[in-house]
Amino acid sequence: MTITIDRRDGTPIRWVADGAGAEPIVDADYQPALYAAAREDRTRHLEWLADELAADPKVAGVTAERHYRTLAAEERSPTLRIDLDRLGEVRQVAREIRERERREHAPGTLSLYDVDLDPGFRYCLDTGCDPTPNRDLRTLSLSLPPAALAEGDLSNITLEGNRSEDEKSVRERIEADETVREVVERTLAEQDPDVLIVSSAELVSLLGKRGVDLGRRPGYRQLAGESTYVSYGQVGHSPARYAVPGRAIVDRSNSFLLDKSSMAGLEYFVERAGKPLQELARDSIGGVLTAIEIREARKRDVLAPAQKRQTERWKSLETLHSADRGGFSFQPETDNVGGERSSATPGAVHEDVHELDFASLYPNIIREHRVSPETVCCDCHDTADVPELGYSICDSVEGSFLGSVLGPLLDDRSELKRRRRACDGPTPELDAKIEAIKWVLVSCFGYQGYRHAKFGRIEVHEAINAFARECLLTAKEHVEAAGWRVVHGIVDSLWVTPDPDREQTPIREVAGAISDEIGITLEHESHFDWIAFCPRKRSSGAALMRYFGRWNDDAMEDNTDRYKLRGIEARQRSTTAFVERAQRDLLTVFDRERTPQPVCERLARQLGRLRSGAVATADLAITQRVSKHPETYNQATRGKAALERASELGVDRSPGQSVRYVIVDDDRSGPERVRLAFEGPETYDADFYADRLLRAAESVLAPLGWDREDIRQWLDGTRNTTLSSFE
Amino acid sequence: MGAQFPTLDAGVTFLDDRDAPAALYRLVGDHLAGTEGPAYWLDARNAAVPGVIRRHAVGRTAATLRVARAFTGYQHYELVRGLPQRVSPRTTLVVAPNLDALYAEDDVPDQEAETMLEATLAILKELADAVDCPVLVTAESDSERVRAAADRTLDATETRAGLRVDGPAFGTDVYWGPWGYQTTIPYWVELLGTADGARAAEEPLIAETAIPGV
Repeated sequence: MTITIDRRDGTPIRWVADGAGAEPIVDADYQPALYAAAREDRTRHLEWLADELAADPKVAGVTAERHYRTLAAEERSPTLRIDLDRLGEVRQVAREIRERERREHAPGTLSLYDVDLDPGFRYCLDTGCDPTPNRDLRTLSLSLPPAALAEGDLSNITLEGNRSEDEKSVRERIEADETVREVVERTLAEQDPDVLIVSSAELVSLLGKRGVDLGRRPGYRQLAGESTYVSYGQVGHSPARYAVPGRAIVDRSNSFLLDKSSMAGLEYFVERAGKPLQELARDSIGGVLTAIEIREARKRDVLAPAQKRQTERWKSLETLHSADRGGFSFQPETDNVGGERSSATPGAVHEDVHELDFASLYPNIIREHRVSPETVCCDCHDTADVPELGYSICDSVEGSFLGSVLGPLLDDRSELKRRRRACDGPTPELDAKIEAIKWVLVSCFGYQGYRHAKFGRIEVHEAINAFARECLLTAKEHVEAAGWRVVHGIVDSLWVTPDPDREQTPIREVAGAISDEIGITLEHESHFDWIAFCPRKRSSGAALMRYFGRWNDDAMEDNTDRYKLRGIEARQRSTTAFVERAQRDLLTVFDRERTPQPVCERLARQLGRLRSGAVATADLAITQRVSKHPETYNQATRGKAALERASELGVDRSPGQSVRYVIVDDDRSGPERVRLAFEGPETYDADFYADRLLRAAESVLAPLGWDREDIRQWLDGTRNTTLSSFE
Repeated sequence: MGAQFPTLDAGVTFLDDRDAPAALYRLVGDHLAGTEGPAYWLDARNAAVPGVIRRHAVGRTAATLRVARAFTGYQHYELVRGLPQRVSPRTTLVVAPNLDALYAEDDVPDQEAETMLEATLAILKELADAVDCPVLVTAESDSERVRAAADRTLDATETRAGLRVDGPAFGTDVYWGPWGYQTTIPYWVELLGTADGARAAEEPLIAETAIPGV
């Protein structure tokens, strides 16, 4: 029913779809609540807190209630429910409680719960309000290029609604003497969108200052200023956030799910998480997962802790060592490569290879083995259920917490994939949902080990890992017994080739038998004519993750590309279009010739073209995610130079955002080292890009045993030969 | 090799290992080799690398060692608070590397971090006295603070002749200033429960379940 949940003066306003438009419903009676519990459940601390809060005007009332403090708790604990008058003041009250506690008690005397929930999500959780719309949402995209945004030049704005007919472009209208304001207002009136997808949230304030009301009522509200944060090991940028009455704002530059999926993916998770679109859209994957977890915890009457205080269990070094081993990894025979100069060592290239993947291995382990914060290392069992680690897993409760969180996602994804298979033609909505769910599923395992994950637990992370290793080892034994040789394996995948000395059971049959035994589907993912694994980079202890291969014809119907690439430059986000194309070109030569020299010949041609200045600079732009402010860089990196240049041009980029630039003179430092892509530079630093190209060539040649030095020697030799032939 | 290092006495010893990162592992290995009984490594910043610890605590030496890793200041504080229930008069060593590190992170508000670090230092000190056990700590950034709270300091340096550890004998300049409540053993016993030596000796590896939170 709901399009967005706004608030005015601390009172929630629910905007519900009503015929063609939307109507506001003011919920003046709503009071948000947070909870406090005391160490060792000592109620006198709660009584003390109740007294302290009695005179606080923000507090509407306090009530002694009992709730579960943890997923594993067997009994409900005494808690103090603290009702507030206004939505949006919970964090403030929590801070004040912490301060009172600090003055009079030992730290950690009180634990607070349900503190950091987004206001709309909180409202939906508390009232049972359904945040899903009951009609197809009408969306309007508003986009403005970054440079125009920086200059406040709105004449370049583009508007595109999902109800648009053949509209005149904004530019055409402006030329026909309409102002930007008139164009935007007329479009809003004609389309009456429910959702505004903006290229940057700053557009809201920019248009607001020009007197344009983007909402269904006048005005806009800034929810938060821009900030930088560190989350899940990555620096993120949280741009300023805005709300307008009656319409949900989705900031395209700040929506992971929209980036990876589409509105259909967002809407799927609005329903699954029970979180309003505007808030869900700006969540990280961890945020989406946390929302689903909090909702599930609520069903179990478990409060969401503000600070995770659960600690790791004390472990022996043996257990710690086993637990820390990471995912399964079977090394192919490439470790010898590199020792022998200039002689191809074909050990890393394998013919006739099948790839077998466990489908959604980690979430399936979580569900199948009931791995969950409340089940692992339970108090009631002394069984050694987790392989290698000997942790117990409680089987006395029905439906594990994590299983309940992830199970529906696994089932939905299977169902959506089934429907997609039944469809002819494109299925963008299904694709988007499948993709969105995938991102949450692939993140669920790592998130368990994330230190700030509200319901995460390190032993759960370790147990999942241990089960996963066991699954892969079991699978390996089976395929080997069936006449296949494992050439490579990592985390949830195995690559196998027929053992020439033995007879093989058909691989799909083997995979089926393994699936039946383990209870998790082992899919026959693909068949390659050949596959090449790059050796590990010497300094890195990481398992092999870089490879490329040519699909067999029987695998081609699913693939438009002839090759599968993983981890090599052409797949990396930071790689320029030029290097990507060049590497793919080298791959086709590799495929045809399978020896290093012809690949090097092609490389030499590419280098020649690069050095002649013939490459378009648009193909040389590097996209980089900014990790810190330019002034905090210790070293003069290219990223820093790009930020300095951006700053000079007035398009400041904050950590977490991206910047696109071309290296024009790598020997310089500061803003002259680069040009931003939108400046359209005419020259580039050929040496710098030659180095990048060489790296890409190295990846292609590494499986053949050639390293950078071999390539250089070959190139030098050729140059000399070429030169002498002209003498 | 034992004679190379000073004996770890009861009380809190701050090891200044900025110039010799391996010193912690050497000292722990050396100490464990000469003792029997449980030892606890309360980790921060992933200093507890099993392979590295074993390299310096060979054979069965490290078999009595138990490790728990904190990843946030709150977890670190809870682990410290749980120590009194865990250690006993049989405990031979408590190690807490990078003691201040997690409190300095952004996720803990400054004032709260300050109070928690103070409490951490006080609990370790009380604990060391109560069970007459060495507590070995290192610091990541605020080393002066940790040094000031410790009973003694060992300075480790890598020299061409090998690791050198200097430990001037002192113990009188213990600094207790900013800590709000003057601690006594009964206070902590009341707050945290007793260190039950007999129980801990019989079942030193029971699962920790007393920590509220998630």
